[in-house]
Formats: sequence, structure tokens, C-alpha cells
Amino acid sequence: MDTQIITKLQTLAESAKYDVSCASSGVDKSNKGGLGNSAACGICHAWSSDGRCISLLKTLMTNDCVYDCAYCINRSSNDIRRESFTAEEVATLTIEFYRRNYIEGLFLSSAIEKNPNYTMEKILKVVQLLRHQHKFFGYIHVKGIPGADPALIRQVGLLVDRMSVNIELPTRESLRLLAPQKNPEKLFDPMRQIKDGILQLKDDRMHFKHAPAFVPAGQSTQMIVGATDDSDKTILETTEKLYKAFDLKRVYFSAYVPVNEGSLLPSIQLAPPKLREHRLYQADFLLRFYKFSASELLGEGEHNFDLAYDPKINWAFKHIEQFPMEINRVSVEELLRIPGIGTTSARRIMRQRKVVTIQYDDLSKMGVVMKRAKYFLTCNGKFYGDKAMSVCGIKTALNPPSPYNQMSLFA
Amino acid sequence: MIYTYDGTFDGLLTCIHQHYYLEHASEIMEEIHYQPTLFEEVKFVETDLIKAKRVYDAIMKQFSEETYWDIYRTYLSNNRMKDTYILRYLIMAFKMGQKIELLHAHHDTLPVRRISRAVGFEKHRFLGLLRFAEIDHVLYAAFEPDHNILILLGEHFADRLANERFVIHDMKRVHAIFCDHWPWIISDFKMEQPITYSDNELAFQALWKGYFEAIAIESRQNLKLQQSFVPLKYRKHLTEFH
Repeated sequence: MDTQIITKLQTLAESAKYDVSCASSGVDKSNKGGLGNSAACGICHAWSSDGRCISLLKTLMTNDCVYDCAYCINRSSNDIRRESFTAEEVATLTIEFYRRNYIEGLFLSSAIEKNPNYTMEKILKVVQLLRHQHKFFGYIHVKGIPGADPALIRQVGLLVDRMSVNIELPTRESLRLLAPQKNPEKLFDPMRQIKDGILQLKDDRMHFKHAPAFVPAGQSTQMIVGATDDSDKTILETTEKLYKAFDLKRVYFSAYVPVNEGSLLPSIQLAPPKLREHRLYQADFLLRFYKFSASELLGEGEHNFDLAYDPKINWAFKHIEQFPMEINRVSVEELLRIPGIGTTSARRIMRQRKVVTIQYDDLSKMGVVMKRAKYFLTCNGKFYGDKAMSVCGIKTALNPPSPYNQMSLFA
Repeated sequence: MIYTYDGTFDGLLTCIHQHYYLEHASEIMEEIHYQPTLFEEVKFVETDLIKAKRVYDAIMKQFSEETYWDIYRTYLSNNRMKDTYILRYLIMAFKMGQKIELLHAHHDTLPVRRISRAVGFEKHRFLGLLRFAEIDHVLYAAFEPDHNILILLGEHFADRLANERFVIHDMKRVHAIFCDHWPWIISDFKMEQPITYSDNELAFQALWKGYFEAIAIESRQNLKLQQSFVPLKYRKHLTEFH
């Protein structure tokens, strides 16, 4: 190992770090005579100083890009250091990091070098090296490069666990504005192909038990939040469509970190909109695990989430007439609509209800967040929220205005 | 009557057996943790594999495997009351039958559920937080977990590192997993001399540290969040924090 490879790794990791996905979940696989396995729950290995988990070795093949997308740190007009890995280098790093239990596998992405096919071929070569030569059974997540030959994508899909294509921006208009060289139609081609491949496999498995797996951990995508003036509603509706149309496992959001100057972009001084990103993730979980729909969370005339209250309690405020709900009687779907009750506590409540009546004191022991929940439920007919059921009263109780205000020097 | 035992799982199960067939126990604890009190009688229970087996069989026959694991994980915890919690849980369980598994917040079930979850959580954490270093073709990892989770890690790593020789060393409890391909064993172990790393090993550690720095986004820095995921107590053995 020479010093050159350290610089390479650091440069290419720097270039890859704005990609959010780092999940190693979704596939249970044991070691078949080589190195590595993977657990369906996913395993995080480290947490960097921004608090994000490191599960996979996240790197680019190269950051030498032919495209000039306005928001991207690797755009061709940026004056940054350009580096490229060889396939052997990536494979060695992956294996050696994996043996030391630093990582759960590889997340390989790439800038578009020369053309999409050339780039996809380089990714394929790394994956083949790892799976065939090194007998690596750990997790591999790669980017599907839009515009690459379907045959190449198919070949890669047979070897990796997850493939993703980032759409980055929620509407055609934003894409045209900030990534004029990308063709929005082509963006969805690989996504469609991956989805069809997975469906095909399900069909094949009914006839042949050992039909080769195709992207067994499914596909994901990512959208940037705050680079354009797209509203939360647009983003959330696109998210919902993506889950339905492409059967995605995850849609990630990435609060835009201003890395470039540009007349079309937010100022480089601005901090990334982390709270907005957080609200979108909360809404995403409500879509996936709580059976909410996008139109319920942001209805007619609403464009963005309230930053002061989470989307679920906001929904409850809008439908205050449905509350309080009786904890010992309502269905699990209704339980999940109560602010402060999550999937785990709902399951515990449903189970314990089969044996004994639930008492008010049991709820916090089951993991219900009583601070919020007490205003929205009754237990054996009794209401415990000390305020009358008024939205205003609950709002102040949850978020009292601060008695002290920082004095301004110039006011 | 307080029963004490030698600290083995079979010893604990023997105490449970004695509770039913000799005299009711008010508390059970490991011998080394026992401090004499004025008012209660104490008896050391000799581990008896046959009696232990009978209790084990009864648990496996009447309840699902998850109940067994709840009890076993609780046994591995560092909670001083764990043995008494297990006793109370089992008394309740043998009375109620399989329905016990539906109960969460009851005062006899809650401690076991909570402790079992905490032990399981720490185990899951260390599936990721363990760091191996290559020393003379052997992968060596040291760690100091709160709970005695070493035994829970064996299966995962023996499968993952099937073609490797490795050692996982719990420095607090001075024992380690040794695995030279399949199967693996646990045995007492103490590191005699300090470790010296080869240049090759140091190079990979440097690469990892470099990567760890590079992957963080400065404008999103959030050290408090990082610390909630990686508490300071675990950082001693983490390559990236040195």
C-alpha cells in the first residue's frame, strides 16, 4: 500500500459522501465457502462525526465526470482533484476492510467517465472480481448507470445485493434546470428494468427453485431536498409514486449541502435544511409502516411540513374529531395513528390486550411516548390529558413558548 | 431463603429446580455477589446437570424459543438482580403457560423483557463495532462489553470469517472465542505482552482512519448524535478513534 492509495481513497470518498444510502439490510445470506455473509436487519459498523452510520465502504470508481450537473461536487466544470481506482484496488480495499470488520460490504458508485457503458463495465468488473475471484459473500450495493446497456445492468444485477438509480430531483422541470445533460426518461429505464428483473425472478422461483437471484435486497433512490424550490408535497408525492411504480425498498432524502456557486442554486453560505429533511423522513416512515398516504399528510393547499410539529401529530391536529381513541378497543391501524405510538408499542399493546386489560401505567412501560400520546387516547374510558381536547391547548402544552428570550444587541 | 450458585447457566437452572422441589427461594444470586444479611437464610446450590436439564426441558416444551432466549440473554446481563428476575418470570410463566409471551408490562415480566432487549442490543452493536487486527495471520479483536455477550457473537463471526483464524477477546471477563475454521470454542484467555502491529496492518488502519475522516460532511457535524451511537466507553478499542 503506497501513500497514493490513501489520497485516492480520501478523494473518492469525499466525492461519494453526499450519497445518503448506506443500508446493508434486506438480504439474509450465509457464507458458502469464502468470506462474508449478510444479515437481513443490516449492521452498522461506525458512525462518522456527522452522526451518519457507516455500514458500507462508500466510494466512487472515479470522480472524473463528463456531466456538468449544477448541484454536484464532481461536475466537470469544478476544479477539483480527479482520481480513479482500478478494479483490483477497490476489491482489495473491500476485502481487507471487511476482514477487519470495518464494513459490511461495498457501495460502489461512479461519475460518468467517457460514457455510461464504459462506466457500468468498470463497475461490473469490480463486482465480478469480488464475487468470483475473492469468493466474497458480503453486501454489495452499486449504482445503476442510466443509459447503460440493459444487458450490462442485467449482468451486474445477478451479482449484487442492491442496485440504485438516483433521480436527485423530483420533477422533470428541476432536472432540466440543474442537470440539463441528463435525460429524465432514460433515468427511469434502469429502474424499470430492475423492477422487472425482480418480478421475473419471483416468477422463475415458482418453477425453478435455484433460479439465480437478481438484486435480492431490492432497489432504492435518492432525492435532494432544498436545491430547487420544489415543495415537500411534490417530493412526497413523487416518493409515493416511486414506491408504487417501481416497488422501491427505500427513497432517501438528502438535505442539499451547497458545494457549488451558481445562479440557479441556493447560496453557498446556507446551512443544509436538516430539519426539513427530518420531517420528510418521518413522512416517508408514515407511508411505509403506518399506512398513511401522501395526500393525507399534505392535503389541498398545503405545500410544506410544519417544522415545529411532526407530520403524524399534525395529521392528528387536523383530524382531532377522531380522537381520543380507546386503547383497549381500537384496531391496530387506528393505534398506529395515535401520536406517540409506534409499530413496536402497537404490537405490544395488541399482544397484551389478548391476556389482560391495559392500564394507563402500562403504556409508558410498553414504549408509548406519553408526552404526546396522553392527549389522544383514553384508557378504560378515562381521559388523562390535562387539557381539553383543543388543538391550540395541546400545541402550547407540547411546545410552550420560551419564558426567556435571547436579547438582541441591535433591537 | 436465598439461593446462591456458581455463576453457570446450569447452576441457575438448578436453583430454579430447588425452588420447586426443596424450598421456595426469595432470591437467587451468584455466589460472588452475595453479601451476608442478618435476616435471611442462604444456601449455596451445587450445580446438578440432571436437575438443570429437567428445568431446561420444561422451558423448551412449554414455551417458544423466544422465551428461552429472553431468559438466557437476561442471564448474560450484568444486572445484579437478574437471577431473581428470572426466578419471578419463570414462576409466573409456569403458572400462566404460553400466554406469558403476550404480556409485556407486568411487573414480573417487564424486567426480563427489558434486560433481554438491552443484552440483545449490545450484541447487535458489537456485530458492527468489533475491530479485528491481523497479527501473524490471525485476526484478533479485543472488546469490553457491559454484558457477557461473547458467546452470542460466535455463530455470526464463525460463518462470516469461515476461511480465517480469529480470536475475539473479552478483556473484562478474561475469556475469548478461538476459531480456526469451524467450530469455535470459548476459553479463558489473557494477553501476556502488548501487541505489535505489522506495517501492512498499520497501513490498513491508516486507510480506514483516512476514510473515516473523509466520509463525514463538515456542514452536518453532529457530535452528540455520533456519541449516542458510539458511546465513549466503547471507543477504547475502535481503530478510527485513535
